[in-house]
Amino acid sequence: MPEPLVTVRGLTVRFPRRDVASPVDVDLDVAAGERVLVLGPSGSGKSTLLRALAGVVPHSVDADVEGRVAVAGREVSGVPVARLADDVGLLGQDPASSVALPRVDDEVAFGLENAAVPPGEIGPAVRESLASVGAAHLAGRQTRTLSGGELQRVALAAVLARRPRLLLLDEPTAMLDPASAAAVQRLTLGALPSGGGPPPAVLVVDHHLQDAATLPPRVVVLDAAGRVAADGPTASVLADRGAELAAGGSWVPLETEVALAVGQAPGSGIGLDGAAPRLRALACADRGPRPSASGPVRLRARDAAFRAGPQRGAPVLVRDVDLDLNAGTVTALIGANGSGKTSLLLGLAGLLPRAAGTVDAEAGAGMVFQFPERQFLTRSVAAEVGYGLCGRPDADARVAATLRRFDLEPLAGADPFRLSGGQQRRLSIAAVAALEPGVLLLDEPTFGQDRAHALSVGDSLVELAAGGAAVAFSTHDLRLAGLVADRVVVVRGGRVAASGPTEEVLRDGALLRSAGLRRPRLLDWWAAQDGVPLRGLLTALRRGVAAEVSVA
Amino acid sequence: MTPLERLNPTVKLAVVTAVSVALLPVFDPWTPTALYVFALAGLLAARQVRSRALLGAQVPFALFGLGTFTVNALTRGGSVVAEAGPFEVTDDGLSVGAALAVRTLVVGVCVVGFVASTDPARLLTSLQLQARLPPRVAFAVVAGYRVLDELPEQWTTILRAHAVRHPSARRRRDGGPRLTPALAARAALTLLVVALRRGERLAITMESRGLGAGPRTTWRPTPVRRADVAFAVGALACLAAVLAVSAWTGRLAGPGALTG
Repeated sequence: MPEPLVTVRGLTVRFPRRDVASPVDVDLDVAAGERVLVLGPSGSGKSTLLRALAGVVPHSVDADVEGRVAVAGREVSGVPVARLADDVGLLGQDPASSVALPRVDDEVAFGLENAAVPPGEIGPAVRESLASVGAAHLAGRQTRTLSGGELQRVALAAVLARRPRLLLLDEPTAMLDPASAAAVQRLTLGALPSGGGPPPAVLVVDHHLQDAATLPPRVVVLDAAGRVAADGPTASVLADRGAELAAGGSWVPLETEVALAVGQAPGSGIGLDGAAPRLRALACADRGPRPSASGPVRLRARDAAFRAGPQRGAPVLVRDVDLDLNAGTVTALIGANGSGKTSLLLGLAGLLPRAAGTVDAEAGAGMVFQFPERQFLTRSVAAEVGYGLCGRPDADARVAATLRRFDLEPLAGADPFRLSGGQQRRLSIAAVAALEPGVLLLDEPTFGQDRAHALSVGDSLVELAAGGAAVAFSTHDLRLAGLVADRVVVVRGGRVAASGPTEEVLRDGALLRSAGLRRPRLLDWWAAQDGVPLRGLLTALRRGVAAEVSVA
Repeated sequence: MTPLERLNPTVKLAVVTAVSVALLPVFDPWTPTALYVFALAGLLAARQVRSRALLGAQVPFALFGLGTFTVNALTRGGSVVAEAGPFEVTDDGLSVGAALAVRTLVVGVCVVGFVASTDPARLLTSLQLQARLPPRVAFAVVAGYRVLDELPEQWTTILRAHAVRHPSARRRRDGGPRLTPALAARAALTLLVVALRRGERLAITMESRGLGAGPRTTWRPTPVRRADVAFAVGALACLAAVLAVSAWTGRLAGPGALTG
């Protein structure tokens, strides 16, 4: 048998200032050209495993690494990252950090220049690589004008241009809207363009997979402790371990979720249609965790329009906004990238100058912004929660209560900037929730989060609404909107295109398409059924996963 | 591309530096004025900058020059030519002040021409090839541009986060937060942390694409062409001619003008 491309033996990584190691004692062989999906709950060390293969851990990011990692016959520990890059390509999740240079074609050429490719060969290689990811038209663009999806495609072109033998994809679609994510997934999960050479081996971590049909043939599962829990053909691993994976908060294919919800084995092959009668019964029996009762109007906008800035000539970003946010309800704002969801939220929060109309908010509106770390203003979790409470007599008690409620008590003294992504997100919501605002606006609160974290954010929103707040959040996740929202507002081209009860809006396929939105497969199926309550259906799927936990 | 844009960035930078350095020991107003006229005429003839934009870009330099002129005219010793309240305006003061002010304008017009005609990416390529700037340094600067680009937006978000949370936050009429020194310090720290994180990630991206692996090639090099040589020789000859004429006509003054 030939030497595998990747050999990992007993890999354990421990970061400074962290108590637990992950991954732990990992053994892994990957053959040339093999494609492997890495699954596991948050914190299991999937991303660290990939970075250890690229040498980024420990060469660029300080960590204590035990065990042996070899790629293409070289020990990673003894070779600098830039040299390993001859064999290894790495694409991360943050589009803004995947691309470093101001021009697209320079970015793709950069890696080739570093490999000392003769200048005459670089131009054709750049064009070919951009064309292979469907980005030929972007060649002369400035990278700062690109969308996240475009940036990730350019970054993929830059990585592929170097013809890596091993391609490491660390959640490349986590920060993309569904349409862009699907486009990038078609590239990363399909037959990768390799410019005539042998295709690279691929290790991919992805929490936002749409389709089981395009999954890589092999899956490696890390458990919560960071150990390899399963390694084998995708279908059989999902059949044997699907329940456990789902319960641990990892992504699983829709078929696995459906099977679990109707009490079948994950490998039974039961599909949505086969499970339909049972799903219908479950959905009707359980209409969700709460009745949707709406209280008094907390924020009312009439014919409102908002400008980008205070100058008279500043462009109007959103107009014709007619909107009521009621106490006790959750409203989801959906719309394609650039449709004006963020501007609408900023406008409602009073952070953009109003160009027309009226906005009446009973009390001040609280707002949580998209990137958690850009809204931290103190150096400890407790101070962050208390930032808005200073001067109030009950400040200490409220900080303590909020920390408890958002499960942040053990982190009270921690530096907000050193938290994990999921913890940062919880803190950013807690810091605003502590003020108990009458209206709470959140800009893509599940951005970059995996399924389990997204669901827990969704639960927080429902709880806040149950506590009497009017909650509105923007999202690309229509399934989350279906689960937690009472009303849905569709934003298109800087206008409110439609708004109504969740089921009514999400059932209207033509409306969603016209707004540039893609309904996920599950919701498509639901829309074709008659009389299946959406929240009940989504809750049943979620319960099915959770039920496995209690059994296990 | 305009003729100035086609020129090698390092050569342009060297010429601008040479002019600035050559003017350092010059303290009469006539020499820099002549150079200013030549530089301005050259820039307009090359159609690099529209005259209106050129005028606008020089305002800050003119204001700085005016300040220098006023301070020198009012405080320097010499024979008094006029009195302004408690101040005496002296002939030496006027002359040295004007020299320094016009020098500012000369450097200003050169810098405006350089910035307007130079693509930052080409400049850094050229600095690597012609000035032997190490690639790691050059690309760190390039990546720094990207981080800088995002700072204004991040700053706004940080201030907005403060505005919606802090009880003492004052809003401007347009809804924006009012900046206080304490808030500025707090927000600056957040901005710094965010920018450092971005920088770290960009560094990893560039390293994982092979930056620093060894000798590299350059896809679109910036060679020194005949036109660059002609430009440098022409510009320096013009500089030398102005200095020579100025000296020959007895108008050139050195640092001696400072002490009278």
